[in-house]
Amino acid sequence: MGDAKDILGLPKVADRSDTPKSSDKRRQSKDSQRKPDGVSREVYSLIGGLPPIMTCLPDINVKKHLQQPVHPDRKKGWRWVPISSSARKDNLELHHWEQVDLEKEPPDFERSDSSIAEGSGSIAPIRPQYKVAARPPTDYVYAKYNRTVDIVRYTDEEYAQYLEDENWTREQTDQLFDLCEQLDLRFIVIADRFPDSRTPEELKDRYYNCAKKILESRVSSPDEVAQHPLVKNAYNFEHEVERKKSLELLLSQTRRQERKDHEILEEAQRIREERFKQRKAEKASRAADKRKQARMEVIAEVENTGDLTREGGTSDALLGTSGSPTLKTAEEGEAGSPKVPTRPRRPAMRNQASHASTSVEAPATSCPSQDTQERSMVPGESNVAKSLTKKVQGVYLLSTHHAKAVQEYSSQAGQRASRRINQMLEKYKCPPKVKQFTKRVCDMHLEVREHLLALVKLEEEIQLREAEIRTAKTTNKGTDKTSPSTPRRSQRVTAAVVGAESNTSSGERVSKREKRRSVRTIEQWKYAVRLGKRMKNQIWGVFKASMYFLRQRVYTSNVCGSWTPPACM
Amino acid sequence: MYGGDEVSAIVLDLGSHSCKAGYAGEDAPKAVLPSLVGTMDPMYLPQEPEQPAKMGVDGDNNNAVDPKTGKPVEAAAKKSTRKLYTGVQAMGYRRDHMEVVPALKDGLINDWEVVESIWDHTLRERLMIDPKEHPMLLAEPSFNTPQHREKIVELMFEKYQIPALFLAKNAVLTSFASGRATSLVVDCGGGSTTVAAVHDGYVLQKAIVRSPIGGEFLTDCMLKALEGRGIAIRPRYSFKRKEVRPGEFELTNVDFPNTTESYRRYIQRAIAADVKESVCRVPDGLFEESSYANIPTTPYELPDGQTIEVGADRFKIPDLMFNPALVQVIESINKCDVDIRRELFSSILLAGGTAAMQQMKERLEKDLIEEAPQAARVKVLASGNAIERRFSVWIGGSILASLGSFQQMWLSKSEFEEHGASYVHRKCP
Repeated sequence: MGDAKDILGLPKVADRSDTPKSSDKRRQSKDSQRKPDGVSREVYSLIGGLPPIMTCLPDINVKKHLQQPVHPDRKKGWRWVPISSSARKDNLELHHWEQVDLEKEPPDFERSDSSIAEGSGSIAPIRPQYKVAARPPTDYVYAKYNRTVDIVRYTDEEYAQYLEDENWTREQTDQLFDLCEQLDLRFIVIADRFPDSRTPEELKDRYYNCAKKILESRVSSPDEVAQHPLVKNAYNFEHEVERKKSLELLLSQTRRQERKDHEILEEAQRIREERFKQRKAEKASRAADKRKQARMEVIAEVENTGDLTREGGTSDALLGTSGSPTLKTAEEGEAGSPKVPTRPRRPAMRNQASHASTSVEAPATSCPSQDTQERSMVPGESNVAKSLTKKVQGVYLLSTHHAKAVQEYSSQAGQRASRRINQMLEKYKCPPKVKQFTKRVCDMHLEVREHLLALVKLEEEIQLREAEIRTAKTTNKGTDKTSPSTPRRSQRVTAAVVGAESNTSSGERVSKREKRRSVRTIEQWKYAVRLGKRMKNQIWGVFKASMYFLRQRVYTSNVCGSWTPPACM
Repeated sequence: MYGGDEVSAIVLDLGSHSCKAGYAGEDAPKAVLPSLVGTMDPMYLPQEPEQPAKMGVDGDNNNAVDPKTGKPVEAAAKKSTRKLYTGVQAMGYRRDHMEVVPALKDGLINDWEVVESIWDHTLRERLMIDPKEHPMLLAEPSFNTPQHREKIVELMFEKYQIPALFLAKNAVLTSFASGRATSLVVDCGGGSTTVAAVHDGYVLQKAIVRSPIGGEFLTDCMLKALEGRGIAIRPRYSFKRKEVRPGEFELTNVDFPNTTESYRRYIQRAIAADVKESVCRVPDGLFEESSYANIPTTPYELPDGQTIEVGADRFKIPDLMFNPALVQVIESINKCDVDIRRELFSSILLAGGTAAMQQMKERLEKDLIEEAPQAARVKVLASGNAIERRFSVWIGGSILASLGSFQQMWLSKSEFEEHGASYVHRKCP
């Protein structure tokens, strides 16, 4: 493109003031898609076949410059002129085409006369001759690119004084410095060309050390050259060797090896995971086996003794079946069977609770994963706490754990029940919050809460039943209102409605049957209420017992708390 | 051209297979001729003072042939009285008792007379220049010995009286042709394959790895394979084809008993080379007999009219190159300093006529990625144009000689006279 401008005689300096922006943009977008005209296809693909990264603005407005009048006497032309370059020391004469100013020569009248005199006949038009105008001698444009590195050279005395080294002879050092000068400190190439085989690090080491010593020796005080890069950044030979060794190690591993290593590592990971899973499965099965065994043992025990008093766990059975009244089935047999499986668990706990004084120390909390099984056998641990500890892995604080357990309890119980529990605790001057967090104290506290909860629930139940009985009695006395066997409130309402309806529309036989049915259900309810009361008393008993034990524990463990045993107990 | 300044330098690249010459600044050489000459022992030379009616051109300069008598002037050594025929046209014409002699052996100049005649022919007849006016840039093999260099310098300055000279290594020129100062050049030439590392514009001589497998070796293999299959490649001079009826040709054998074996071989090789260039492809993986047994064949028509089918040989022959090539590359890089290895891996250049085969670049890249270290990125570069791959050394020389900042690097005649031929080692490192 520059050549084209030269040929046309257009200036290369940009003349931007009068190029409109829109045409620039259009031209730019066009240029980026086609190959530019001044470049041949092969050379264009040499540079990658792509347009240049920076779009070139068209510098000049061609039309404008061509319209400018050209002075006839001043002209530019191309001449084959010799080059003189300051970069060359000898007098090699190279030539190249250069655009030079030409000036008109004065017309040579003698010549024209002679041609006429020779009798050529025609008068040839005198063509103006041009010669190269005188111009100041300028250096070759590219001479400024002749850059060299300043190498420090030493004299013989300096060598003898400072640069003696056992590994390097004078000759070798000379060779090294020559090569450095010739190859501009490209140490890798220097190492390649050096006659004796030396590593680039050795060469660098020798060169930089020598240069530094020479510089320091030439100056009177070391401060003057302290800023010089040769002195400031000294060459660290050992570090370089180390670095190269580690780089070599890094590069010596090929991709194939890398892939193999990766495969092996993956395989190892897979094997490890499988083994872990296996171990977990084993543990789980072992735990299940142990639990089953314990259950079988307790069932055997219960069957042996068949003591109903130890069935004080019915409250817990109630709890165990998610707290809703089991009396909805209203059949003792049915209620009995779900109790059985849950019952043995609690008596097992209770038995162990009675031997709490000689019970085994709770295992440390630091290895929970192994102890979750054993913890289930730990005396006095409640359901919720058990489930909580099973969830937790790792080390934890008893205080926070306890707080969580209490929270779980109250959430299970409901607001009213938990308020009642707290009331009762206060009534018996048992602190609602435990002050000293040892394992036994926490467990006992939770147990107390549990029992209280059961108690509260039972009280509610009893109230409910009594209310129902009263309403049933009143309805029975009044009319032949019947109520279905299910004691649910909602169903009672509908039953009452049905009863009312049936009252109005039924026949006598139907009403009699219904009457009989109602009487039966009332009897059942009454029995249930009595049973409930009995259970409540039992729970009270248990509650008192656990309170006693709790106090005992607190006392015997010599913990000084603000809690004093209540006078009534 | 940016940074360019044309001083009308000439770029000469003498390779094992062909010699390329042209003006610097152009993008392809003007003169390409085989680096072989036909020699004839003087006793076979015609004694009559006739002008050679052949299209051949005299390449003989050493002893002045008296144009009037046509008798060779007697010279001391018998060797120098032989007549040399240089150039495509001269070589293409069959002559009795003409032996074919290569100029280079193992990549280095072997026969100085032959080289001179080639240069003469190139400069005077093909380019038609006067060497006195033009500085010369010569491309030399990367492993050239100092003695060779000095001899070349002497020859050029004393015989041709050139004003300035520069000797550049092939690998460096290829590197410059692709715009890089540091690269690993895989030069798959006619006579051999050379892998050389270029760092910052200088060849690392301790890291050059060579193997004798080159284009001509593959051509020989192709020739053997075809002959083994019973296909006789008839040289062009040995038959005459006459069109008897439109589309039908009649073949008559012409016998020339005095044709030398080397000449016959030369002609046959030329045909086999053409077969190779048009039909062969590099296989994607390692060549196995079984997988390529049922490959569809490609037809090729020989000059005598018979059509041959080339099947598995298409892939088998280029695969021969790959067994050493890959090892060479890794070996060469490992001989270099650790610091530059990564850079070399990421700029591997393919050059040479044999590298113009299809799928060469992809196969090399694939093989190298397997064997290269994990930390290095492997990139093989080759220009898409087959002509550029063949002439990449020459193109690099053309670029170099036309740069403005190169003009201070010429070894001028006055410097040669002042310091002697050994100054070339300093000036042209």
